[in-house]
Amino acid sequence: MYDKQARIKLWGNILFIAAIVVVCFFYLQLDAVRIFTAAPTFVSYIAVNFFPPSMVHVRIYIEAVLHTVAFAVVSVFISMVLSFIFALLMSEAIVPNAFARAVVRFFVAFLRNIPVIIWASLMVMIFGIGSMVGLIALVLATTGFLSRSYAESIQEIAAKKLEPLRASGTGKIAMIRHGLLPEFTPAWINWTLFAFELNIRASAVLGMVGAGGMGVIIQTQLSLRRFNEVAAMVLMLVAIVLITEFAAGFIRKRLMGDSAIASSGATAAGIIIIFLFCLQYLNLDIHRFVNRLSRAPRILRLLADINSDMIMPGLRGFAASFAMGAVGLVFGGLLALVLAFLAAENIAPCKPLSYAIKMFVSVVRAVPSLIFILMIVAAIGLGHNAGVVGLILSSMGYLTKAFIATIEEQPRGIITSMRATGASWGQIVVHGLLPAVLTGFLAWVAIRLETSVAESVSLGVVGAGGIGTLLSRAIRTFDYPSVTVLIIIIFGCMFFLEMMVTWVRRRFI
Amino acid sequence: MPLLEIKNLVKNYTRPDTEVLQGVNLTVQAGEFVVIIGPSGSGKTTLIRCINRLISPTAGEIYFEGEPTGAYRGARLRKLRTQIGMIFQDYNLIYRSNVMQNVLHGRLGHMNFLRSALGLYTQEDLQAAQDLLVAVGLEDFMHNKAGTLSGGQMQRVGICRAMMQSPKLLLADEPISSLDPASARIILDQIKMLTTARGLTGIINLHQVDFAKAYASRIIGLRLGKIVFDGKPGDLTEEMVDHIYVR
Repeated sequence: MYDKQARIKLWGNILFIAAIVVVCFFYLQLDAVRIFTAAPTFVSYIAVNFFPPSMVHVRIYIEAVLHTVAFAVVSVFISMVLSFIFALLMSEAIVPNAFARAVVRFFVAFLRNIPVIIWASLMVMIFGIGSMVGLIALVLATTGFLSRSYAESIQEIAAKKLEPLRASGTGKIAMIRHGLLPEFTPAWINWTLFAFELNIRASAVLGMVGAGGMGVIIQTQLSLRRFNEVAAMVLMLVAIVLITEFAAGFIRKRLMGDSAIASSGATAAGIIIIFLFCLQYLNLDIHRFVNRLSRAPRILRLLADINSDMIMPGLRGFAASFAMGAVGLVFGGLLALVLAFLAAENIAPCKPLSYAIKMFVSVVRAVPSLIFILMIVAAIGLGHNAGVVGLILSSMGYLTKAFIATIEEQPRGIITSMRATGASWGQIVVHGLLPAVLTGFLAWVAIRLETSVAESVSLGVVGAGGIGTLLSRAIRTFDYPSVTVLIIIIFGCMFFLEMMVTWVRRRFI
Repeated sequence: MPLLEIKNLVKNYTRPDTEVLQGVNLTVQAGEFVVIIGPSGSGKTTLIRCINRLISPTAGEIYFEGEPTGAYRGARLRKLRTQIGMIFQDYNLIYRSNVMQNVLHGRLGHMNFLRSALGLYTQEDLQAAQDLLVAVGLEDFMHNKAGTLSGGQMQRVGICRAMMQSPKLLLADEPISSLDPASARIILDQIKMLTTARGLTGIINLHQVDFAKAYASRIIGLRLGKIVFDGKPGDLTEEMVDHIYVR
């Protein structure tokens, strides 16, 4: 930090980010006062209206929560199988033809860069409401995510471990079976469980667009202003998300240590039985879906049209969504920065405070941001301001957890040696830890940018502005040519953003 | 008929001015133990990988047992590879499979589709793998995960895997570069012992000139993608070594 050039660079970066935030603020015509006073308003509103949670309809809620879990299980299972196939098709060791790989890669990128709630709205538009369309939407988005993750892991393995098998003339299937699968198991467990955690949250919001699950109940109760009922559901959702995270952590530890269990036939059979059980429990409306399939070609034909008048409003809408995502990310990141240093156990100044922060963050993280937004909208009204507050909360939750993990990975020596010199807590943080963790933090922020913008686009669907609002309006009014344009814009911009983030991560981190 | 004949082999990566191999000619008779020496970037790895076509040459032709291999694709290429064993610098074992499984992987190319996919090795294969592990002194580690072994032990598994193919030619790409001197000597001893006992031909890339002189029956000096020395270890003078490695 005493290097003058480094200092100039640091301040340059800070000014740059600040400038972006200011531009975004003006672009969105955000009300800074309103945003910063929203937090207390929101908290007091929640405290007054949402408590105590009402347990009158507890049976219905439990059923809805179980449905949500079953949704996640079924969607992850199907996506897992599809993703493994796609990931193999994206791997150079399996498919030598670069053009074929690029086609698969593009298709997967398309699946991944359309947020799940948008997939759900589209499916509802084409096939009508129902649980089957929700499942399809989840599978599409999850396959996009998992294929890429699997493919990255497979690429790492293939680069080294498959060469000997190739050099000894082994065929492809045997190469996958004997070389790839054993080494792929840990990554497979990791990513699949991660997708499961994501999908629990995602399936909870699908109902908001009529795609089944508990989202529809939450939304209805909110609009009827039965806040105590909403509180009960949200609490249960939080509980189930935390239980899932805990269970996933347990399974990870257990299976990583012992690959024999992970790759045994009994485990495979167990997973398939759970899948079939959940499928049975969901009782999907397959008949209705099949009946509606005949509608699809007509609507797809209608979607082939393009409304070029929508291009400019669409791009402006995406800019607004991006601005909301960026503002949410920057403020969420700043909050996370403070919270993480107060909570990381190797530097936390006060144990109870650390536990309190960790617990608060877990709860915030467990609630899907769409549900947050709905609650905030109930408290401070519709529009960009509500969207930004929700995005700040969700980015803060995610980044605090990531930052804490990064800080706790730091060797204790840094802190001990500084403490030995008589440095204060603040000095240790600023001079000892911050330089050590800064690159790691930036990597997390870069990764989060994509999610934050994707969430911001999704929020539009429930009325927080941006391109999502344009899209849901077009869908509601059956304005197919506009829908096509907006989807293309969302995909194009999200894809561009993803490439930028990848580039930044490679270049700077 | 020579076992291997390389004619005018050229390889360049993307830009034409970065020629890694600039017209290499080399004939290897059955039973030779050839060591290729040369500094990093001289093209040793590229040369050895062109032989089993892990890398495709830009120009030139390679004859294996008198047959040109350049046009080989698919099944025919795999057949060629089953006859050429390879040992890697970083061992490249499947860490999460056990030692026995890793050795048996050398057999997969010889098996039909169904048997290889299901991993149904024959009794002879199992016995052969066991015998090889005994020969390299790893019989006590047969059921250990490959990832738990030391570097030297991993490379010995790598040797067994290559031998399991019953190859005619053994390639080794800097097999001792990641090892300490004591383990390195054991590895080279075992490669030499097994190739001699089976009458195999060996082509080994090495960095260390003294090891090359001690083990090779013939040394090839590679510099900037060209062969600048080809002769008996005794003929490799200090000046020649300087010419190969310095400037």
